[in-house]
Amino acid sequence: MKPFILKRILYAFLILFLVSILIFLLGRAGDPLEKAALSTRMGMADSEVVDALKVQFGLDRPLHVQYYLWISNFIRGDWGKSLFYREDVREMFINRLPITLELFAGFVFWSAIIGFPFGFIAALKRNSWIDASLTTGAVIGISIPVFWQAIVMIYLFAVAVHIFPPSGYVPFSEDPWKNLLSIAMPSFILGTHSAGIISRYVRSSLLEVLGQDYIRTAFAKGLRAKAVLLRHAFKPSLIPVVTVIGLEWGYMLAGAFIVEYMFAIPGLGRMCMNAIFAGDFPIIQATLILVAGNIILVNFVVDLLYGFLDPRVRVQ
Amino acid sequence: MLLHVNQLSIHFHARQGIVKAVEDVSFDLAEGETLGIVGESGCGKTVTALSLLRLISNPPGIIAGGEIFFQGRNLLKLSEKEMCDIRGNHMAMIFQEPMTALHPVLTVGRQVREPLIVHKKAVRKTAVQDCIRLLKRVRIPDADTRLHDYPHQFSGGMRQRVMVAMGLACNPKLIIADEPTTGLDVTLQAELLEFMKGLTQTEKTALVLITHDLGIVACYADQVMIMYAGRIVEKAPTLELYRAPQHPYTQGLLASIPRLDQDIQQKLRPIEGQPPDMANLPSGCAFHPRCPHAKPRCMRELPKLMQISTGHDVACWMHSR
Repeated sequence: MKPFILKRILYAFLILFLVSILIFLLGRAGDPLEKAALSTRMGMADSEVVDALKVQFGLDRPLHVQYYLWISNFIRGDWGKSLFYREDVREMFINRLPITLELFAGFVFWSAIIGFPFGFIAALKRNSWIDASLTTGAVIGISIPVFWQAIVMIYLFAVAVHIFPPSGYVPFSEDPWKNLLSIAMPSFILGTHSAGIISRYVRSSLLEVLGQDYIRTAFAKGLRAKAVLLRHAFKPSLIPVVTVIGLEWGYMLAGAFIVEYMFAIPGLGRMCMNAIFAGDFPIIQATLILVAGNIILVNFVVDLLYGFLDPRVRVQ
Repeated sequence: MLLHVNQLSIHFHARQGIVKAVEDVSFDLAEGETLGIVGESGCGKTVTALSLLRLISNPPGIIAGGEIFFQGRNLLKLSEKEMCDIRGNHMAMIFQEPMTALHPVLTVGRQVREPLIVHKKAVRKTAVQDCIRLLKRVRIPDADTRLHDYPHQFSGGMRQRVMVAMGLACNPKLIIADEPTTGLDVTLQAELLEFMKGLTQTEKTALVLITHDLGIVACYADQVMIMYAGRIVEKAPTLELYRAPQHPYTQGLLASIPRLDQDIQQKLRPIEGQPPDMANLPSGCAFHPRCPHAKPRCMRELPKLMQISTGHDVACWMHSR
């Protein structure tokens, strides 16, 4: 088990390193981009001003030196200053992270609480009308685009019936109830897609497991159906589900950007969207690094979970 | 009589219609006795075995008729809960593919001790001790450490022995072994079968041995039942069957295996033709398209199983008077 984990950690860092190079190059992609980005906020900046700015941000140095300075500062916790807000980027992240994390917790809550039971029931009631309607629901959940679902839900639950606020965010410390109301709808919209995917995977994976010989063996031992399901079928059926949850994690990050923007939630996604429009590259770079780090971390956790769920993975 | 099966019929609802996988099968089995069920793939032998434990999945399968008396109780009349108390406890099954029949992500120890925990209400600690004892009994080396291993860390022969240990856990009165030696090499086959034969002698365990290997049956079974297309075509004490096979199918099976006392020059004679399509059986005797002695009557009428001498039954028109 130990060499397995060590190898995975090594891989994770290697990937993170390569991604950081890519992100860095993306941020410096050509002079024109930079000039355009800088000049939009300064009218027709003359070349002397631009040159001065370049020196200030270290853009006059060779690329590898720039990369080295950027990455070493980044690791030390100096993520630079926002071009637009003139604030410390790390501070900005720390202020907005809890909001996105809350949205995220809501996403996990909704996708798990809908996805797993739906998939389970659909598998157990296979080929019945219950299965058919749950499956239809799941496919709808998967296919609806986030932005459209957001518009429809805002109309239904905030405009037609005033249950949830149409947008905005109330901090938990200010009013816990309003905080939950403000996060419920956006996180639900985020969770819909994953809930659909998870329920589909749980259904098919559980059905596959239930058709295996070792399930018949379990019945032949005299176990009741419930015990067979919980002790023998559940664990192996999770293996493919863990994979899609890992993939959905990445999807959720993309979705969070859109949802935060639509619901005016001042989280990381909204900050990054604004930064992209403004060409605020220190923020963009930091966001991308965190997003990549997050996905790599999740993949690492998924690998560990495989080892936990399936002993055959452990021996190599 | 430990087991008494009477006119058992099992049907499957398939797209092509109703498949009569087992039709009108009757047999008896006493304590300590071994019954060999022989036939080609798809002849209904595994389905018969599964039905004894009522493990036919419904749908698509259904026990369409008949009775199964085990220790005097009709299993087909029991509730699912009562059936659970019999499975793995009084009647155990050893499946043919230890590769897939063992749970891949549970430890061997957990799987072997599970019947004890379910049926004997054993606490974990004594169950672990019993489990080590069981594994030792089927001669798994280093049983006390290996019970923490997973099936994929075992060799094929050891996996099969784990299956056997699992079946033995509660000292069942009847063990159903579905091709227990398929895929094992010959020495392991002999070892496993000797072990089970020992059980029938010391523990008075009855054994249903399902196989397509007539050699195994000759050595280990007291009675043999030959099945073809879901029906019994011949049933006899083992010696009698090998000495004087009566049904053309049995004769064909015996002629198709090599014998030591045979002239080397003599060629093996396979049975002509293919096993029948179970969804679309031939009329009359299902064997008639492949039978060298087929008469017009065989195409029209189904021969009933008739006793021709003590304990020897045959379903063939050649033997009906």
